[in-house]
Amino acid sequence: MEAKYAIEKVIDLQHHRGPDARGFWASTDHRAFFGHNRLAIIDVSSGGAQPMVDTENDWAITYNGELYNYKALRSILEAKHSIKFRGNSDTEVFLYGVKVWGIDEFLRLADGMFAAALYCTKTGRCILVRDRAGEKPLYYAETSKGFYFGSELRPLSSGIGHGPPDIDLAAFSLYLMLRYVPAPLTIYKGIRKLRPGHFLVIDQDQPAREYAYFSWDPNASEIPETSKTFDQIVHITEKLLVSSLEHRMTSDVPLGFFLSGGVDSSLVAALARKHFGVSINTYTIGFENDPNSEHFVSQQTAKIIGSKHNAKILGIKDLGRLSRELIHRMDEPNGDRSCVPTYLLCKHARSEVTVALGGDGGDELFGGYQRYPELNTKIGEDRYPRALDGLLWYLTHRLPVVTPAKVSGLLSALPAETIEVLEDFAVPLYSPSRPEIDIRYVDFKSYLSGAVLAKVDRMSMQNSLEVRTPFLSPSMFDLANRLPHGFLYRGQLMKPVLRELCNRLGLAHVAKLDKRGFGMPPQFMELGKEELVRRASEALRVIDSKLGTQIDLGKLIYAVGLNANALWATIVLGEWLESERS
Amino acid sequence: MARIGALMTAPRIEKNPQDAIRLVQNGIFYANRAYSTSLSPEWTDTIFRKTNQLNDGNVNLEPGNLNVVIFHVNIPNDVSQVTTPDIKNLDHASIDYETLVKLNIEISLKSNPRSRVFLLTDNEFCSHLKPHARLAIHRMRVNSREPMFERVMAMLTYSRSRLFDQPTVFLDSDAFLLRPVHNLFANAFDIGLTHRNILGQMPVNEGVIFSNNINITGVRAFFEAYLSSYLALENCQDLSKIYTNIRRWRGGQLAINSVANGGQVYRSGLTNRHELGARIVVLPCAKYNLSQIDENEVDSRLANRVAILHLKGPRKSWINRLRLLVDA
Repeated sequence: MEAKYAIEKVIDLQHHRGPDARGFWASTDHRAFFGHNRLAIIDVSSGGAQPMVDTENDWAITYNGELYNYKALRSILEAKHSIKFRGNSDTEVFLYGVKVWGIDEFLRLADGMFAAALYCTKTGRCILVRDRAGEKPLYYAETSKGFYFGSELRPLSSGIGHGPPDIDLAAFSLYLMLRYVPAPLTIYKGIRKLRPGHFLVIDQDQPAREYAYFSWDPNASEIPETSKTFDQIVHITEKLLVSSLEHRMTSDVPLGFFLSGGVDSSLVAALARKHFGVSINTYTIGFENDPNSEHFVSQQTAKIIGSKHNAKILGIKDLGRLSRELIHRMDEPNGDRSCVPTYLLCKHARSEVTVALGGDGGDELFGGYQRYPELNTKIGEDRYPRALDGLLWYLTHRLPVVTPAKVSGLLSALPAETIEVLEDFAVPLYSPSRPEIDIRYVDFKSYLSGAVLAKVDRMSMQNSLEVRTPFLSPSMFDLANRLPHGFLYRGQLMKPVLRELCNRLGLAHVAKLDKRGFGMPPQFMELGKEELVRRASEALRVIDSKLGTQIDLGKLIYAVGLNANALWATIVLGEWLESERS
Repeated sequence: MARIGALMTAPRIEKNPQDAIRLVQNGIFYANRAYSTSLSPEWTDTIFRKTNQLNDGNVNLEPGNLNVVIFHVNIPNDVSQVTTPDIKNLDHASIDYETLVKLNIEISLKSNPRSRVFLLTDNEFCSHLKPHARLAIHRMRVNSREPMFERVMAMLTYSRSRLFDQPTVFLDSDAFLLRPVHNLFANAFDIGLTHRNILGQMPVNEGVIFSNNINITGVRAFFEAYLSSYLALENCQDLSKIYTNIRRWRGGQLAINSVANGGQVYRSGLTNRHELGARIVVLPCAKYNLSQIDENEVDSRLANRVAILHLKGPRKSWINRLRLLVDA
């Protein structure tokens, strides 16, 4: 029964992820227990309640996310396999899909964002699975008392432990380099994250085994780059985005759109308005006295596309307090500077809708980052025969938080597992490589899931808001795989395909703008640097006492200078660790 | 040591338009179940004897930084035809392997100027090969009626021999090394496998295998598992209903998918296989084992993006285009 109590505790602690209902299930032999917090989106009746079992009691599922093509899969299951569904939920389709087709085939067919656990009562086999890009999180721990898993790190840790676990030094070193902890590690020793595009098989009395089922890699397919013209590709992109949108707009609860000043979210909202003709709500936030605040552009966009726009303008004086509160509530430290604005945006949208669509993934798929050009010469094979060295150059010169060399200096040496994780990320850069193209797959594998999607999930679920991403669909992955260099960059112009699509939708004012991060306003980061330094100093004291390191502020600043990314990442980690004490 | 593999459901053998896909799915299923990591003492002795035979060979080649190993034997006419559910009417006797192998050697020596090529073969094949300071021919006692099985034994034997002193690429006779690959071995893997991401084809292809020489113990453990999984597959009764003699045909593909933990869906990345003590990287066929192209794409630009071109099946007739590239 200890496991059952642990699960109840976890479910209590992650109530915000699903405030609409909660449920529990136990196998008849009491070897498996599932719990679930429900945020009801599709089939909000009790027909979609979870955990769910099939009519023969062969399989049970607890599942977080959405299966967007569930209607098509359901039709096949009904027509070809005579499955009689009891309700209208995607959960039931997920359950029968795995039961009928097996996990490999089901995952090949599935288009969705999900983290799920399935248990086969006949074999005692449990399967954990995570979506292709890593939109939904899944943590797990193998302990002497059993195998535990959950959607959030801290609730899982509390449920199974007697206090905060030790900090994983490899995860810590990666956090200093990247501002997040990449899967399969977590900041806690002994708890791991399932990697995106993977599933895990747990059989009785055997160690869990992890299998990959998806890698976004242009070279995965032997089909060469597209021979279509630029115009044709712009047209196809529109078509595929609209198809993806159609699936992602299925909801039985109110749905809206994030609308920043950027290309990707503007496209999503504009295409929804154009192709579905429905009245749509768009949401943005801005900051007072910030001439670059996103809300100026988004207001103009909203006017052009004809959305009902909801902009919330915030002052910066409360950001210090707000950021501290948010860090304390973070599930796992994420030093991305856009966590706070994202949280505020989600909170704002949640006042009216339960589901919001955003533009994440567009930069990785279509080459939107200014840091990509010139990588062919900077980290090409001639300069760095070993792909890991090219990746380290990229981390040092293009994503500078604390450079790998400095981290190594601060910790005396890099833990072996740190190197292992980085070496796995570097595989797409193996010779022969075209780094300007292939680096997108490194970012997809690491940054997108580890920082961006983790941020979006945690900040939205803190507000019980579900965020969906039309760019992250299998058909968009296939399209982006085959884009030649000239369709990714045109001189200094990034994402030319998406910018051209913006132009065609009448959004020239968006198409011509440089990419800007959706971060904290500069007044907060720059003018308040003295305050940031003070907070970073406090944070380092906590880090040093918790980890037994000796990185004081002097050493950090000597290592990285007054680097805002490094300071902010340090603050987030230190204050997050501090919050454990309370 | 057997294990349950990645496929969760029992294979469904049924007739439908997706027979090829199903065949591969079943093959992977059996392969994963047959995974085995160690050889019996009898087989260990056999490999030991073969290794000594290889070590006794006289090799006095120029030093190099890469070994290219090509295994090929002449298949007797009475067993040259292959007819299995997935291969219809392939006749080895109709293919001029001697010309293919000669061109393959020539291209390897040219594209990788510090490579050494080892041709592992029987007593007759390529008897008039032009000598080269970086070419060694090792004639072995082989059962040429079981070429696929012999090849796996030859790879294990090579990995245990003194010949394995440099990073090595094992090539099919029709897989051509188009560009220098020495830099690839600067990366931290022990074994590099290539994945063909096409439904209906075996995912991991045995026609190209990279093996680093940093952790030789891990490499040897991999090849031992490759052979022992092959032997374990022979005991799979369901499989024998599909393939009558896997030592002649198909067993190598199945065995390598067994060791690679093969799944139909492409999975890139580096995996630390603790039970083998080896790090295995899965690489895309598009770069390291390309076959899905048109003949007119075989030109001098191809080497910019592709390390190895594999002229599978009827593509073997394209060697004239390759010939032009070598002569250019």
